[in-house]
Amino acid sequence: MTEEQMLAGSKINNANAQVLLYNRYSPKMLGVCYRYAFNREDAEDMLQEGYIKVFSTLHQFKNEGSLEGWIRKVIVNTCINFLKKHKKFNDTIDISYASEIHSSQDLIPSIVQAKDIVESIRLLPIGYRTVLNLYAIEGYSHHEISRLLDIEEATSRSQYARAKKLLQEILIKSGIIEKQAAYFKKA
Amino acid sequence: MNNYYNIDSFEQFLRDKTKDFKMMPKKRVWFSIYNNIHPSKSLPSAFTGLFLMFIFFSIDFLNTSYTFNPRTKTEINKKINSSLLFNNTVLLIDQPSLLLANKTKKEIIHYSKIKKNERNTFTSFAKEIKFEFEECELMKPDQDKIISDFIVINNQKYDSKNNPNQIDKLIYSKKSSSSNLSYEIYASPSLTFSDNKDVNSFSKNDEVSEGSKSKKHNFRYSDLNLSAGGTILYNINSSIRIKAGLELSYSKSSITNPFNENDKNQFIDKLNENNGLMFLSDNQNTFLELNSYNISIPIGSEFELAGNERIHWYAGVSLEPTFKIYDNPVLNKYSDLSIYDAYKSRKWNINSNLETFLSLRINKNSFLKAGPQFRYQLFSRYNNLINPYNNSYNFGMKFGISKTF
Repeated sequence: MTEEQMLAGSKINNANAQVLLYNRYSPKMLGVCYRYAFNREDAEDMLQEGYIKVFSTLHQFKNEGSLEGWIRKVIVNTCINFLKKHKKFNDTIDISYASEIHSSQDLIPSIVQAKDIVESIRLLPIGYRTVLNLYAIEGYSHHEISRLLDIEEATSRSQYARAKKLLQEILIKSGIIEKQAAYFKKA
Repeated sequence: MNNYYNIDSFEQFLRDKTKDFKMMPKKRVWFSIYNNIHPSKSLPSAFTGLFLMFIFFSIDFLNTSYTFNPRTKTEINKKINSSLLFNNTVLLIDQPSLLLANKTKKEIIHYSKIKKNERNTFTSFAKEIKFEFEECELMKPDQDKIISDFIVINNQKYDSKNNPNQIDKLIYSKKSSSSNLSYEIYASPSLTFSDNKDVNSFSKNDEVSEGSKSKKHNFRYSDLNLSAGGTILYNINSSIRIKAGLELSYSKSSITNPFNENDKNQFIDKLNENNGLMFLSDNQNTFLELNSYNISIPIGSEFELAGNERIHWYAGVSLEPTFKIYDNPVLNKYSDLSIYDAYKSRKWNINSNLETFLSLRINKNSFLKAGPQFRYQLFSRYNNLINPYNNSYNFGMKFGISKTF
């Protein structure tokens, strides 16, 4: 089944097409939710809410841009609403945990690295983390973030600056940045 | 080191490293989504409904009342007639009174004085129910509420104290002619296995390479199934009956490394050919998970092997055309990749079923049943795609309750 068939099937509520659509993108989208969530259970709740929105508003997708990008946007919005609704924001952090964030060695190397980075991001206070996720990873502007989170644009900028500094400290403390030195030299 | 962290490269670094980060959601997430977007197809509700029906009928069976308080002649006549069929119930006659009592509970079900001028009327009751009563040895009504150890039915004297089986036999022989139809509800947990044959046993349609033919499949397939259903039974004679019914079943199963290398590659190629999914590469291990809901129509017969009035031993055989109403097979690699192959699996299949069970009478026309069950799936799971495993079979225990109409 091609992506077009899968999309068309999902739009007319065909269960087979919907499960294919879910299976194709849900692992990546759960990874997105996990970066915003407080724990895995919350991430799965976000994913569930997000996919219900995806299926109920899929007819609004007009093939402008990629389907994955559209789904990702719906999921990110759901994550933000979930955090607002459940008041999950807090401001505590202890970067002494940073040295314990290495993933288990039985994972393949690329996944270990990605998981280390994600776990480092998740050590940030949820407010910092949300701004960093939206700006650095999702590519939202500070103006968009300010509207999405109901904060001042200046607040978004300052939160991001602090989040970035804190994340760099965590990455250094956990030794992940040393591993990536060669990468940054190229950049 | 700080030189490395200008804004562009740091953000790019984060994007690159998190871009392909994936986690495998638990199955419950999809089921919750599915139930939300297809509320009318909520599969668990069908099973919940069936379960509630099972509970309802069970309570109905267990709450069958033995007590009554007849007020008119017609009622008395009717109640006497039906009470004769009750387990442990004897009809005891004293010339001036009529008493129905439960021997085990030592409870009076009915007691009424019969006046001298009403004896003819009472005799007519007796004739209507085709029993004749003669004088019995009496006990005093206030002692254990049983007034006789003997009962005379159809000119034959029975000793209800020392030989209660005689009376039971008489009572139950009356019952057996009452109806040939009965119904049954049941539940059956079971474990499923594959037959683990090597690839030489695959069907003609399976394109298995020469190199793979000598290899045994390396997989396990043993998971819990649950089925529940209802059946209508018809007694052809005292020891043979036929049955037909409806059954819903759920099975959750998993197979580790279901394919050897050649099979796996062919399987992947065929999947990619057919649905364009390229998630699985050649060097990946596979783990197949299956969750399916099925509906089937068991048709068969049961044979009584031995038994008495209280307990019977049966053997049964049936064929069960089965339709898969929902299936969600997923192949995993590590925990973050999956493909879906539902369209290639067979919608219809046939199970053959062998069972044996004991049937225990719990009241006048209800039976509790329990016994082992063996089922074999006659056709492979897949239609014409490469066969990742052969026909499956399962062992289970069947528990049920039946009631005569």
